[in-house]
Amino acid sequence: MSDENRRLVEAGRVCLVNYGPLVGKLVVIVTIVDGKVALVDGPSATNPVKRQLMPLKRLSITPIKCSIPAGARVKTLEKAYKDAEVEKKWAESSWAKTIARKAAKAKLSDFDRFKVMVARKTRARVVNKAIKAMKK
Amino acid sequence: MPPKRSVSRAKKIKNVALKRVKIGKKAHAPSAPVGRSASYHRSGKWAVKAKNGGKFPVHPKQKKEEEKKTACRYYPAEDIPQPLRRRNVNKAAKLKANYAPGTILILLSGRFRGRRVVFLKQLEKSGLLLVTGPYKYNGVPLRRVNQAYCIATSASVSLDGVNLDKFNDQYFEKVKTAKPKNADGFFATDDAKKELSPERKADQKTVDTPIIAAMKKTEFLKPYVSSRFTLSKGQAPHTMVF
Amino acid sequence: MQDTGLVQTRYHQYQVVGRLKPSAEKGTRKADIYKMNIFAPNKVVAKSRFWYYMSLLKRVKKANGEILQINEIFEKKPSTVSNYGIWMRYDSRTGHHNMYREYRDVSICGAVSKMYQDVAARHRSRFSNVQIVRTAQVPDDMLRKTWNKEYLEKDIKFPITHRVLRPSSKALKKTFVARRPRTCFDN
Repeated sequence: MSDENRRLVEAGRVCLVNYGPLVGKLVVIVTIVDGKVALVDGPSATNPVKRQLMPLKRLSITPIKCSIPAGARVKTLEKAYKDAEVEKKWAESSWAKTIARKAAKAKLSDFDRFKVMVARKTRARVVNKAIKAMKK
Repeated sequence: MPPKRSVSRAKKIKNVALKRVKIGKKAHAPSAPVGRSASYHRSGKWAVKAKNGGKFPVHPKQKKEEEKKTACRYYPAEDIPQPLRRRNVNKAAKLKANYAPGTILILLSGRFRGRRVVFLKQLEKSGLLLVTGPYKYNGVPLRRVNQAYCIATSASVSLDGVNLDKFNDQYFEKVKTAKPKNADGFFATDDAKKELSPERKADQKTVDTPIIAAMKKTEFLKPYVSSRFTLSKGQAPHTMVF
Repeated sequence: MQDTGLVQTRYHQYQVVGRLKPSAEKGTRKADIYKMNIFAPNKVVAKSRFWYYMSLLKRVKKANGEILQINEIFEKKPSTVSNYGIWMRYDSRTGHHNMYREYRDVSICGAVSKMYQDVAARHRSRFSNVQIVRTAQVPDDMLRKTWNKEYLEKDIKFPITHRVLRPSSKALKKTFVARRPRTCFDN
């Protein structure tokens, strides 16, 4: 695998927090402290994260990267974050879509769940009918 | 040296005592009349009597309260349980915040458990909730349920045109029928099936008609109410949104 | 309040100022004022440690001394990673040892917290057995420990090749699961 596509822990790497109070937020690695901890910052306008230390154990590494030097200042990072269109790329990824879908599903009311069930049944009926017709 | 006493101490005390006696005797006037009639006259009671027609005035006797049963002088041999005085009054339960007339509830207990029903109103006296199926959709009649055994959903129906003034706790009270007390009667079974009064049937219809009409306006609401609520794999009610 | 998720360090840095209580009799006591930087979990412990060191170094006890001031000292730049050197001394079961340790962190308090954890693990020494002699920020070219020097490399990058992904909170943790965890994330 080429180094380009490899997901590495490095300055500018966008990560998803997968544990703790900031779960679900996007952060960028600013500096690597040691093999287990990194300094991260979430420059998002809508969902910001204060610059802080974060164990790598809590980070899921995404394929997205923004180009910053190690230890970049807040404004440099904000600019690079915008230029790399991190949030757009993230929203388009199937990973983000799965998360969004799960969140939407969890919010469904009882009546909504019932309607989904009816819709699924209707779809299955149509599909099965078509398959049956094709088999003949 | 102390001065020489002229009289001994004991003698002095004796003298004092003697003196007192002498003074006491002097206080009685020797000329005062002594005798029963004389002392009666002195008391002045005759004057009071004369004033009240020859009798002493008497307060009218107050009627005594009925005498309490005198408590047994001994402790009872057996403990007799005394019921405690109860001061608590059963208050009607407060309606939960997400319950509003027209809300669709999921019943959790009783023979209609899992049924989705329409909440009509809270009854004043008992605090129970008045619900209806509607009967035509899921077989649940007008009945009272405890809100502790319900889940309120976010779905609701408009209750326009539904008159619920008639329904109170009295409406649902059971009519007690006296059973024959002899042995035959005790073992006898009621073969006759209890017929619901036509009045009740009419009430059910009048309440349900506008509700059914309102339900028809929302798609899927009819099958939703007619179906039962179940939990499938991986679902935990405390984490779900209703 | 929004939870920023910031982890509070266990230790704080306090500056404690104290002296021997001046006596009414002239010339009997010399009341020099002493200032000490102390790392402790809270102010109470900081004051206690102050008297511990004062009695060792200056023969001044809490009974005949007074604390004039106690302040917490905060990091000037808590958003940049620096190297911290800690000179310390600890009492082992057999004797006293002097030591120099280095940590990379955003604050000296973070480095000190790490040091106490580290020393507890490696040498079984407790807070009470450890005396911090000196702390300093160390420039990159003065770093002595190789495991810290590694991370000074300009474009350092490395993959995470192996890990067990945890559920997002402890509440969702399961003791038994049907499948083995996926541990390979190097893609």
